[in-house]
Parts: sequence; C-alpha cells; structure tokens
Amino acid sequence: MLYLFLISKLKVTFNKIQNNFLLKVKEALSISFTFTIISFTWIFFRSDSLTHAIQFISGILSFSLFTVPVFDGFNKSLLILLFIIIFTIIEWNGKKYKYAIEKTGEKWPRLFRWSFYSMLIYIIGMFTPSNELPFIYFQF
Amino acid sequence: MRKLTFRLLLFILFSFSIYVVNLFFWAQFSSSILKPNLNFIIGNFGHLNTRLKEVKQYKNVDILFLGTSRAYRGFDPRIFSNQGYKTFNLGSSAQTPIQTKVLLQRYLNRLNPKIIIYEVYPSTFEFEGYESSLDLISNDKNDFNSLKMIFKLNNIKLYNTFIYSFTRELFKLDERYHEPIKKNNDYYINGGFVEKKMAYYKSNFIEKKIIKFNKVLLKSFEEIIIEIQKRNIPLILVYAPLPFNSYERYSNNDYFDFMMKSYSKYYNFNKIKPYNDSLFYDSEHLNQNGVKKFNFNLLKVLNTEDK
Repeated sequence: MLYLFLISKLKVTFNKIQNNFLLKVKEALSISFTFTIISFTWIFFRSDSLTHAIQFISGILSFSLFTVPVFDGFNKSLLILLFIIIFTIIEWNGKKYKYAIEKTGEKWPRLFRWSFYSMLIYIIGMFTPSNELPFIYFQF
Repeated sequence: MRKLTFRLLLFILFSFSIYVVNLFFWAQFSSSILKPNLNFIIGNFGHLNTRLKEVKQYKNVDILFLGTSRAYRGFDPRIFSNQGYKTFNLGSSAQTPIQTKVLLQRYLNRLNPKIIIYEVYPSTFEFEGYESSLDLISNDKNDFNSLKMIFKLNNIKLYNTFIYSFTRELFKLDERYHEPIKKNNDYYINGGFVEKKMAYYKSNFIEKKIIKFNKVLLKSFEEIIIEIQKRNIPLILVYAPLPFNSYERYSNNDYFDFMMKSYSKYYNFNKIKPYNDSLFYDSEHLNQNGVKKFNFNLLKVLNTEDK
C-alpha cells in the first residue's frame, strides 16, 4: 500500500518536473525564435539597398557558416560571447523581478553576499569601457 | 541610521579589500584580454624607468629639460656637456603639463637647475594625458602627487593601474627590474636622452589642424610657470623643429607663438632656421644629425642669453 502511494507520489512529482522543464524549453525556444527573426529583419533595415541585404544574407548562409572565422579580435569576441551567456543565464533566472539580480544571494550568509557584490564591483571596474583615444603615442 | 552607516562603511572597506586582492592576482595570472582596464607598462617605450632611476643620483644641474618624447629625443646631454653644461632630461612620452608638474614636485628640489628648458608644441596641450600618466605610475614610485594626478584625469584605467602599481611597490616586486639600455632601435644615454638608430623621414600628406588648448592642461601649465617663477629659475620655452609638413599642418601657429610668448621667454626653432626632412626620422622627431644641428643652435641662443 505504502509502495503504491510512494510510486504515485513519485509519478506526480516526475510529471511536474517534466512539464515544468518542457514549458521552460518551449519558452526558451520561442524567445530564441523571436530574437532570430528580429535580428534577421534588422539586416533589411540596416542595409543600404535590397541587393546589399540579399548579399549579406547569402554570405551568412554560405558554407563559411561551418568554418571557424578568422579575424582581428577573435579572442575578444569569444570573451564577449562568454559574457553574453553569463548575462543571459542571470537575466533568465531573475526574469520575474524588476532587476535580474534583485533577489540573488538574498538568503546567503552576509560574507558570501558581500563577496558577490564586491565581485560585481570588480568586474565593472575591470571591464567598463573607458573613452580615451587608442594609445598610439607609445610607438615613439 | 547609525547601524546602516556603520554597515555601509564596513561594506566599502570589505569591497575595496576584495578589489585590491582581486586586481593583484588577476593582473599577475590572467591574459591581457581579460584586463582591458589595467595598463601596467614597466619599461615601455622611452626608457622612463631608467631615466627616473638615474635622476635620483643627480643633484644641482645647470639645465633641466622638460617635455614630451621630442625633449628626451631632442636634447643630447653629451653636446651640452662638451660646452660645460651639466644637464638632465626629464622628458617622457606624450608628457602633458599634468605629468610635468608631478615630476617637478618630485625632483625639482634635488636637481636645483640654473635654467629650465621646457619643450612645448601644440600636442602638449592636446594630449589626453592618460598614456603618459600610466607611464609615470608604472615606472616611478607613487605618492600623493600620483593620486592627485589620477583624480584630475579621472579614468578607470589610471585608478586600476595605480592600485596595482602601488601593491607591487608594497611587496617590492620591481626592485630587481633593470630596463635594457638598448631596446630595438633606441639607445639610452646617461642624462635622460634616448638616441634613435639613424633613419630618415619620408614626408607624407598630413591633414590640416587647428591648435586648441585644453583648459585643464593650460591651467596646470600656468601653475608650473608660477612655481618656477617663484623660485627665480629662468625658464625658456622651446618649440623644437618639426618637418615642414608637420609644422605647416597647423593653420594658427602664430596664435600658439603668441600664447607661449605671454608666459615666458620663447623660441620657435621652426621659424629661426628651417630644418629639412632629412634631419628627421619620423613626422615628429629629429634624427641624430638633426639633434646635433638643433642643439648647436640652441647653445648659440643660450650663449647669447648669458651675455
């Protein structure tokens, strides 16, 4: 009897998790789809002409899509990509609130919470863009 | 309220400590791409590290030179020494009056010069001053003057580099650092001069420009002039030669001359005698032949001044 009760309870929990997960996947897919469509339409808004837009799209869809791009600042773009992933996760987790990190660490011990805030301050200090001109004079 | 203020102060102290520790280890172990706002550049172009180590052994000079790379590449102490002058060159790359003021506050008493020759040109009053501040922070001992300098410029790179450099000083990490005397095509000469391997400039088209004075830099410049005048040290402002195209790119050179003359005795060597392009190695700097010609002309001026 107890066994049957546990099994039924487990089934309910499993179904809940499954439904919840499927719901999240569905939600993530629809957000990604909207984002892709919006980004795609921007090509037309930003191009000088329709021909230019089509050239751009055929460039994206060519076989080069499957090769690793080589360009100046490739490492920097990987770093930006990493930050985008981190920020997306943070935004996703805090999407219910007004600010993404509004409730982050609310229940953590003070030491951890303060360390988290201090790390945020450090990241801002290290990565915030500064507006000076590129340093060219040192070549002399 | 008191509790909140106390906690806030405690948090500021805590986060600042985390910031400093993080910055130190981050700077030590991460690649340059992960530290865009940190430019610690010990032993960079211009031999400033060697120059500022050497200045601590100098006392009571006849002539002190100040200015940008056009100063430390333009006034050769060997030529002045042959004429009986003991000189030191405190020039540094892209030096603006803000850094000049810091250097004077640190070394003017020790050097106690009889004359100061300050190399000026339009860019002296146009540079942002970040590069030269980073150069100074990384290559000299940091003190309250460094702090005043970075507050004046207020740039995150300067704050980070200052904190890192200061931490390195605390742990004496750069005590054993020795900058090579010869680097690429540069050779350091005692007295603060950097001699470039002989090269010749090929003139290019240079876009026209109007000289504009940055108000903050001009204010620091005026403070320097006042300080030097207070000490009764004769000051000569010198506009060192530029290639013809580089000089003529400025449409209001007369205005610059007028401004400089209003501050002190001033010589524009681009007007006194023409220097052809073969006497330069790039669009701003004299090659060694040019340095010789310029220094002999300057000595003539100084000898006339003495009389």
